[in-house]
Amino acid sequence: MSTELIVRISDLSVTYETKASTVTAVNEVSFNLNRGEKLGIVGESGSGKSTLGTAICGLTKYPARVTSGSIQIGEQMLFELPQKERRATMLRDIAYVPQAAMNSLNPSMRIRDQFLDALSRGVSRKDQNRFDDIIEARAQRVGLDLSLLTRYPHQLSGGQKQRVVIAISTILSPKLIVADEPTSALDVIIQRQVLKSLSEVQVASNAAVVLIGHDIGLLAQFVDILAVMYAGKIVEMGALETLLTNPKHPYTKKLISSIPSVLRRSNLAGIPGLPPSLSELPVGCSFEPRCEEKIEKCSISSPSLKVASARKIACWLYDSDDTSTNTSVRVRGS
Amino acid sequence: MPDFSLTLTEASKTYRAQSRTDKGAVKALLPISLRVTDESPRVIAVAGESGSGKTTLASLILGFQQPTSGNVEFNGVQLAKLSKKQKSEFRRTVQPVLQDPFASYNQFYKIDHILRMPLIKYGIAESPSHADALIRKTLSDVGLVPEQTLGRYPTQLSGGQRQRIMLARLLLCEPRLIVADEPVSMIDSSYRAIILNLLMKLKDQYGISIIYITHDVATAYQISDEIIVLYRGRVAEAGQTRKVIESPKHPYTESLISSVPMPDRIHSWDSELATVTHNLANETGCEYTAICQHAVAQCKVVEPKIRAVAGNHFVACRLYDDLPEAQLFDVLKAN
Amino acid sequence: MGFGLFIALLISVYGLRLFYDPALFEIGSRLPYLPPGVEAPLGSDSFGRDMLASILVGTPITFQVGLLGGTLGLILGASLGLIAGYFGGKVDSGIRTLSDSLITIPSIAILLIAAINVENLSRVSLATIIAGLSWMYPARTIRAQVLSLKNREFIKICRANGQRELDILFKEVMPNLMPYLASTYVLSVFTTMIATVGLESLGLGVDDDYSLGTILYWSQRKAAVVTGTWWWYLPPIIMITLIFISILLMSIGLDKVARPSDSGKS
Repeated sequence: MSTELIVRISDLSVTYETKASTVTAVNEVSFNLNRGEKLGIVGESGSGKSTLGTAICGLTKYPARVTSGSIQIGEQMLFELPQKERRATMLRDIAYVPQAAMNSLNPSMRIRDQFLDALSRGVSRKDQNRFDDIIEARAQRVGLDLSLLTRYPHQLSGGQKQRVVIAISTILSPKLIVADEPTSALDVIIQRQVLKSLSEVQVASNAAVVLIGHDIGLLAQFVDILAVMYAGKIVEMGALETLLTNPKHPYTKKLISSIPSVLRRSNLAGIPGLPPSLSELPVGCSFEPRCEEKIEKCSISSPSLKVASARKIACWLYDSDDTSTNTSVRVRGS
Repeated sequence: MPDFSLTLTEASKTYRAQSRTDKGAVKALLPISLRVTDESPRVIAVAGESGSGKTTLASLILGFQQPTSGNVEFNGVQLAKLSKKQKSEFRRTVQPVLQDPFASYNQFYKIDHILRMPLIKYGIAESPSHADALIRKTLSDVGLVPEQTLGRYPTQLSGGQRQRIMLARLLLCEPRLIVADEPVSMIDSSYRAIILNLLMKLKDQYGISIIYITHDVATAYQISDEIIVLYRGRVAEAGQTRKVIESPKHPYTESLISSVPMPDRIHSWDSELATVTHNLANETGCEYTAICQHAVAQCKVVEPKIRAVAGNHFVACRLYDDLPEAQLFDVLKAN
Repeated sequence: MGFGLFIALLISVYGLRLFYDPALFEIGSRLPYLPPGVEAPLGSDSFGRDMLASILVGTPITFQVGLLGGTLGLILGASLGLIAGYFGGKVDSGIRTLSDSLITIPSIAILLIAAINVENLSRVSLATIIAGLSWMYPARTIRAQVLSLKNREFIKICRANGQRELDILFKEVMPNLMPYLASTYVLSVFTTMIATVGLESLGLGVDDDYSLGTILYWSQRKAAVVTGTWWWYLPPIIMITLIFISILLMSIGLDKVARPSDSGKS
């Protein structure tokens, strides 16, 4: 894996301004990704993961606002670029596949034409054939049968549409692909295919990928690094195997143990209580009200993300006083 | 003689072509037989993906649709022939839990409305104060705090809370059978256990049987006593859940189980998978032929019969043609 | 905003009546052809009718017919729409066929014929005729809404709760239709008013009624444009325009209530 830095997110915060209150959906999130690395962000509804996804791509729109932090894509600091260059960078280097992306296909255009649309703005009819090879290659890369190119979106199944969207959005070989729940509402067997398509695309261009979802099992099939998000903050982040086999943060532990297994029967476990409303976060650690391992400090102040036990974790139980954030051990994702 | 029984006898549902682009009739559900009584309350899972017919099955059991052939009977009487009184009894006894905790509510009213309604319509409460007491108790039973839920609009509550209120509503009706159609697929994973555990508690505490319809094989495995695996309208495999999931016989069941993404099986999806083209529907024979690894010429033509692998394990696949045939009713004998 | 304007109009018209003698609209109460001035704020017409008084008298009449016709049209249209949408099948087909065929008939022609031929046209009969020709639009809107509501999940829960069909229709479906009913009502009143003003300015309105449209009619008959008595036709036109604008604004506002734009975040 090369060590070319693709994206560096530093202390990124995104807030929503409503008439009633100001809600911090993303709270000082930081991480780096190199070429070819695959990060999974797992969180439940209300954790801020989708807001983070749009923010990474520079797509934050009113009423959401980036209130602090920076995004670096390659060599460029995204927010320091003038509007025009920022757009150009975004178009060229970042691909965003939103939730229910299959609905964003134009129902009155054939699939091939939608590919063409992405490749060529204002190209005259006779020149369009130039792109045929590229289009066919891209379609095949995601495992689509070429006969689908002449069809309309409504003639394709959900899984096929999703793969089309993945192919179209990555047609210019972006450096970074951000996909938010790309397989929700799809059957289990189709989910496999779609993720495989995403994998093919990633391998072909060695792009960095951020995969956002709520299903750890699903993310586990694809990513190398896992970040767990709760109430707008990353609470634990590290190598996938490390977190899965040896989770440390109480929330991560509970999340993993609440996954129903298909291998052995046991009592179903959930996490009692509800995630906090982002407009009324508790003083101290956001997870404290539901935590079974809390100590006194937890209700007083909020822990920050620090390196401990070969990962990054935001929990008072693992906060040693000699936290050296510039340790020589490179924790995956830092 | 059981006090309550719901029986499907070779009930099927076929939709006629809706528009010119449809080829012809769609066989949503092939003849299926099923019997639930109050003699042994159980959780029966119906597992399948989209197009499997599981939602159609739910509609038939709940009486929202009529079968194209075969019968659906409540206490021995066909649903279409129920008297007014019997129909009311049926509606009260067989209760649904639907998938979307948002759409299940009439946004115009506070949640109290939906809890009060059955008490009035079924004459369960003798007075408004009695109704209030019942509502409070039932809300507590499902683990909610009445003061925090009553008087609120659906939008003011979380999906999980709304689903629990649905369970409270349902409890107030004193049902014998609950048909839960994907009750937790739109709820956060950490909350699902709470709802599912509640369902199981209802079975244990009140003797209510539950038909749990889902595409999530994992939860079906965890909570059900028996399972029916549907593929494109046909029963592929059925029987005691442990047996079916731990030693699946039908190729589709195997595929379904191995496709469940588990955190303890990292990157296990690297193996090749045949591409599925949903538009190819078999007119005859086994529906799974197009994708099946074990398909032979026979599969395209001859419909697989249900055969007994064991006393409580059944499969419909030509691979097991040497086994004795069985009737689906036998599947769901009490254990 | 539209509401505000409408209320303002209402208040001003009815309020001014307290201060200004509406009886002045009688023929001969003023010297004819007085331009707007100190004596007659809006001047007078050829009959010596005070224009301001005329407006004060005419506007309420126009309102009345409009409201009556609008209400009738809505009740008729909404009921048929509700029934057609909810019960479907043959009932729906029947109502739809009726509605579709009536729409194709040019209502202007019918209105003209009706107005000409009916003896002693009263406000009520005028309103009824108009309602009979305009109920199709509310019917369509309401029917479409009912269709979309009918298949919602919560209806199934209502059935599971033991509610019968009619109960569901009135208690559960109708409340959700309120915003649509309101905006359709406003439009209904609107169309009725346009129709009446149209008829009246052709002289075919209710006999003996002195409404805004009638003022216009007489101004035409007496060639006010030619004689330069702009104060005869301009005030009613402005008044009518103001009424229409206020109604349109109201309906836009109500429309927004019925369909608030979606801004959900996941």
